[in-house]
Amino acid sequence: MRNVAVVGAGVFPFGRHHDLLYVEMGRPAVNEAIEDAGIDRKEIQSCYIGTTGGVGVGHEILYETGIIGIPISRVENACVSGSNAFRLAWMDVALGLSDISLVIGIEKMKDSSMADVAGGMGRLKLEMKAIAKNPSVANFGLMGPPGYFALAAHRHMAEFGTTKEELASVTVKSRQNAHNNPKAEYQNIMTVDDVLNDKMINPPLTRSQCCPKTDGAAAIIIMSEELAKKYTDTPVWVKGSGLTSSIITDLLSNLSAMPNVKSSRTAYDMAKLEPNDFFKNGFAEVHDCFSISEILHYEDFGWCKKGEGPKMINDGITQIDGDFPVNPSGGLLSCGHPLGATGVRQIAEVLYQMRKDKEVAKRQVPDENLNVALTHTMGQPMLGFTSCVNIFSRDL
Amino acid sequence: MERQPLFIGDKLNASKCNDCGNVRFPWMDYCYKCQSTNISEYLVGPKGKLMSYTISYSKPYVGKIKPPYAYAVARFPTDNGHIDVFGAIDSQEPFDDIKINGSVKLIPDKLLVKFKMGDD
Repeated sequence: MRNVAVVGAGVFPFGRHHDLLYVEMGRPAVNEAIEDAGIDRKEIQSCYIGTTGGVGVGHEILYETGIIGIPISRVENACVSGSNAFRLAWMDVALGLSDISLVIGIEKMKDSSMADVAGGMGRLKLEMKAIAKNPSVANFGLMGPPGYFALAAHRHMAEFGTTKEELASVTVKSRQNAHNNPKAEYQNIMTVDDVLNDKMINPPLTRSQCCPKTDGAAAIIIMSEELAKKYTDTPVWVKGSGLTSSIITDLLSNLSAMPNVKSSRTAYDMAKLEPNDFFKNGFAEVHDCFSISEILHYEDFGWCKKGEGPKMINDGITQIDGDFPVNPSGGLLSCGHPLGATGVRQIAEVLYQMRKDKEVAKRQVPDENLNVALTHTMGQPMLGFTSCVNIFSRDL
Repeated sequence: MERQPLFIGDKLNASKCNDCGNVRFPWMDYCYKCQSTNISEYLVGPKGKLMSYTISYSKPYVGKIKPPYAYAVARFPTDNGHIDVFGAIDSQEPFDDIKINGSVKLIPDKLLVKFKMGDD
């Protein structure tokens, strides 16, 4: 396999874009990524687009950005769609099928339900008559993602004494970082009390402990080592990737999500890194879909022992100026979570941070933490449960 | 594979792998741990322990439960460990009877796994 580098990125502001078509969010993101990479768009040889709801929009975006006649694949894997699209593009370039690949992540969510955007409602309609008679499926319809994580939160509190204030502190950290991210949906500073007094969604999780449904798009350009050395002095290298399948019941077994454990282990092994190698050396963008999620990820990724996730927050370890900054962008809780766009936006953040771009000057991770980075999304495609971890480095 | 009922009597209709011992609910004719198809019927419950719960204030995607409703994960002993099962809790606002680590008992139903708090 060839070495592959991330060379350009573009992010269309995450937020509320009722009046914009998919293509009107995707086109600027793609153009920004092409300009950032400094390539001629004719050189793009393949495209992977992560989106759950955007049927056909990849073709429209390519057509409207003047990129015609290349292989394009739409990747649907719930909240992992963007990370998954990137992984496939990386495999494509690593195998030598393409020298330059475009990865797009995009979603429109404000004007419809999660079940519509993620395709679940469509599937329920297709299976309606069968589901009514099939008890093995019916029971799962009682819970959406906030419910599953609320169950995990209550269990974490019962088992380890985690407090609701500690959970709320995840959102407080997220907003502190997003305050300096003009492309985040929510940039307001919040206190622990603000978070706890917010509307209750599924106890113990209040609204600001749940990531918003958001409109947004992101794009990145990746290329082979040979070309990357021609186009940039500051490539970001892909060092490892893991993707894992499962079903949703795995989330609560011992408060650990098997797909997260396995995806991170696969990526660590490929990158020849261990969890401790990120402290005073790296940073991460993880899937903080809910406040408790970020705490569970610290534990599942081996950054602390099971039950000690809240201590990482309490001790400021994962703040931007801590030993191991996590979610310097503000993460999903503040940037918002346009399903397919999130995984691609995270990689754009890694590139901006490692290059010390003006874009991230106010939320810049310290120099000593710019050597390695990990991105992570996890998703619940209906009864499925999946996780994707990608690892990057500044030096090859 | 033919569809199996959720309950047999007052117990959950689970399946057990005769090769590795893994217990799975709902019933399935293969083992997701060792891929064996050497599976037997294995009944679970009716008494278990409430591991966690939350409340939903909106109507479910599937089923006819009216919000607000409580749902939960409960743990049931097996002869070589335990299994965790999701389900609704038979309770009403303000849901004061729900206690994590408290005893639960299964309420048999055709389409839904339901628990009630307490030993009886």
